[in-house]
Amino acid sequence: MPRDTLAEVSNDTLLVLYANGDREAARLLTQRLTPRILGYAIRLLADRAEAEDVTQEAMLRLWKIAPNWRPGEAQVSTWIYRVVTNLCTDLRRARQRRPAVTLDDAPEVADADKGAVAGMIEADRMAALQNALAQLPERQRQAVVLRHIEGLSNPEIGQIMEIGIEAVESLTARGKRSLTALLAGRKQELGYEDEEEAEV
Amino acid sequence: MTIENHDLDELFAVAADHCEIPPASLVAKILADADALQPKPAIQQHFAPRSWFATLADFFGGGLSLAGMSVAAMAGLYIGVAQPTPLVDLTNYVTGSSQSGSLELLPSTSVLWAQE
Repeated sequence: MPRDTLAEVSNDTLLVLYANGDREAARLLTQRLTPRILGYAIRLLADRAEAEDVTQEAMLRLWKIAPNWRPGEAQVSTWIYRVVTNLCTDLRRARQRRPAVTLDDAPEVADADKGAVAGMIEADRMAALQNALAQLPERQRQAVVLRHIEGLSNPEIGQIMEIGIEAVESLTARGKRSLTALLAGRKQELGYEDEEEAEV
Repeated sequence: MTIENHDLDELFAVAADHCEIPPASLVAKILADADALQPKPAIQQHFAPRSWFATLADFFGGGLSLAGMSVAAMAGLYIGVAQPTPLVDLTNYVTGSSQSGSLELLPSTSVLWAQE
């Protein structure tokens, strides 16, 4: 099917098209899903190489399930987030406690249009957030990332984590409180003080 | 100097805006997996149209059966037309009749000519 026609098609339909032999559907699914699940895996694992392995494995499982996929029963994005969550959990359990993340592990956020200082401040903030996320209990980290960074709804998070909505709300609330506590005292270090002073 | 709730929300917003660009090598591996695992359409077999003779042979149980039945039919026709003497004698012996002549089922053409 031509690329223009596929641009508006849902992930569900793309997966069925892939199972029917459409190679363009695979390319489009990869283009849509890979950036999201790679970013999610990096936040859960704080290790880019491992996150890439998890991303490849999750997509591999998607290709495998394609012939048996029943459209309308589940969302492809929710399904793949669950796979990534489980793979990351398995990986973290299988390995020894990792050393604390460094600035190099944080996602690169420097924007060419921004000044060098602003870019460094943003990189510092992202590194601080990544560091703080890495210190959260696993379930809290998953819930906070899915809710506040991936922007999913509580029912979707419930499906991914296989828990009820109340449990999701509890995990995100506790996660947020823990993050605030972990980042306490770093306001000036992260450049917030300077911005407020600049505004005055 | 603690991080406020809105500071945290701002951090989340920046993180959410950031799009992780997968390296080309990862995309290539994912697409290679997709290619390898993509179900291939079944090979369609094209059948040549069958001749009426093949269909007839199949109906009678194959070419050999058809050949046997053809030979039997020809033999029957020959026996019926030629009426060999040994067969007539055998028929007379079995039926107990003494008829030695042949039975004419169709009138002779000479009769038809004579009527004109």
